[in-house]
Amino acid sequence: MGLDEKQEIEQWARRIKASDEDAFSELFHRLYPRMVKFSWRYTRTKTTAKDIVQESFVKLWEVRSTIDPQKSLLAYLFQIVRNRSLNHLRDTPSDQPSIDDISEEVLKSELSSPEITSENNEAGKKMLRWIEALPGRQREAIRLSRFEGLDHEEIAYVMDISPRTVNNHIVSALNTLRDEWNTYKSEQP
Amino acid sequence: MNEKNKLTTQEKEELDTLFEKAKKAGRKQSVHVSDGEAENDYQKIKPRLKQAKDTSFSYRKYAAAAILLLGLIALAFALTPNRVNVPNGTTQAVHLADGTTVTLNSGSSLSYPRWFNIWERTVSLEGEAFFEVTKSGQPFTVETENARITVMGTAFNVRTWSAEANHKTSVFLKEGKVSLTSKAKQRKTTILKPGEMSSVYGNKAVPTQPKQVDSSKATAWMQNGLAFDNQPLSEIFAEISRRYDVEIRTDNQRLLDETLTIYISGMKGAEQTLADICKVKNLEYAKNDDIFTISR
Repeated sequence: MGLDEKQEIEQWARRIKASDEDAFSELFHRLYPRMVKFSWRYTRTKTTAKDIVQESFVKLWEVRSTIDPQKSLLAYLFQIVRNRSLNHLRDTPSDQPSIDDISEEVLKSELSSPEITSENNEAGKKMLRWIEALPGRQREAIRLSRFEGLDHEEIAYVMDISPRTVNNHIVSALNTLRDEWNTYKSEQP
Repeated sequence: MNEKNKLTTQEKEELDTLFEKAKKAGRKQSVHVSDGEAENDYQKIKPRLKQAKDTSFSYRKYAAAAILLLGLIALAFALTPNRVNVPNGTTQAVHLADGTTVTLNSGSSLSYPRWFNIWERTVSLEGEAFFEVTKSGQPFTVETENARITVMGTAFNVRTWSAEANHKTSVFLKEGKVSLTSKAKQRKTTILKPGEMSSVYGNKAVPTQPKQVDSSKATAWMQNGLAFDNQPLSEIFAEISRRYDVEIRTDNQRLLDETLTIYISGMKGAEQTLADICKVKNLEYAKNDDIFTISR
């Protein structure tokens, strides 16, 4: 996430706080696809993810007067979506994948995905597998850091843990990934 | 973290590249939301935005409303004047916050704001009252329906019965200095000297020329007396009714217009007072409980 987007979101935060519906619409259109993808990582159902994200945006609008433009609105949105996604998993009967099952599900979907095998992105595919094989909280932290562009403080806010713990998770994750990568390289001809 | 576990710069760079490749690979197997879908879903939630009460804010709104309500109650209280109504058959002395004493004749009423003596000294009078005004930096004002009396510190009598025909406000000055102003459009002011009396008649702009009157007669009611100077019997009977809380009737309306000048000192009682008047005017009266019927 570039600095420009950060500033842009901060501007939207100010306007939304002042009940500017146009700003809210702009924010929605910018972040909705990304949030649906994020929620889908937990729920694995597109319609469920969309419902959760829509509710999250309505919630954001309802509490707009409490928005602090100095704080990350993006992290705030991620937090709402994450909590609601986890609540959904908790409250939904077990035919839905639980958060610990996700890595297996993803592995299968990746292996069976024709686009990935057709593109010669063996390393990227491997990397995804290693990330999904990480323990749950490490996986969440590394994803928010590397795929969603949040800084450690924002991740701490989203995951409701201390920035120090975030750092530990990320360092552990990076070490694991480094080891996997080194092992993989040594196996190559 | 163990030292040997620390990532080298080269390893960091390699991992950065791997994350970029993973992102690319991940994009392919994640869900995709098109712009059209986003717009469609926005239209779904849009109606809910309008009705979405800003819940976090409503507490502040309630608090503000509560404070406003308390303020309005306080304001209503502050704007509601104090009012003293004196029943017929009695007189009453009212002591105001500035030390002024107002003695109210029977059936009179006095009202004054709750902020009396804070930034003004203004009272309203209907009926008759004798004022002994304490001197202060602020002027003291008596409002009647058709006149305004302004003084600094003084003793004076005001008589203003709006029910009387050709309603007038009469001011008698005992000591000090007062100004009497009509409330008519082209208002005029008269300054009274001690012992003088002046009146504003109805909507007339100019108060009558002040003239010297007998102080004991002008304030006779203060000593339970009655003094009438060429006044119609209607006014005289009304005064007696109030003073003694009796009812006076007559079948002969014309005699109510006859005038009379009479001074009755001290408290004589309703019957003796009416007997004296009837004697002078050659009238008769019949008494039934507290009802007197006058005839010729």
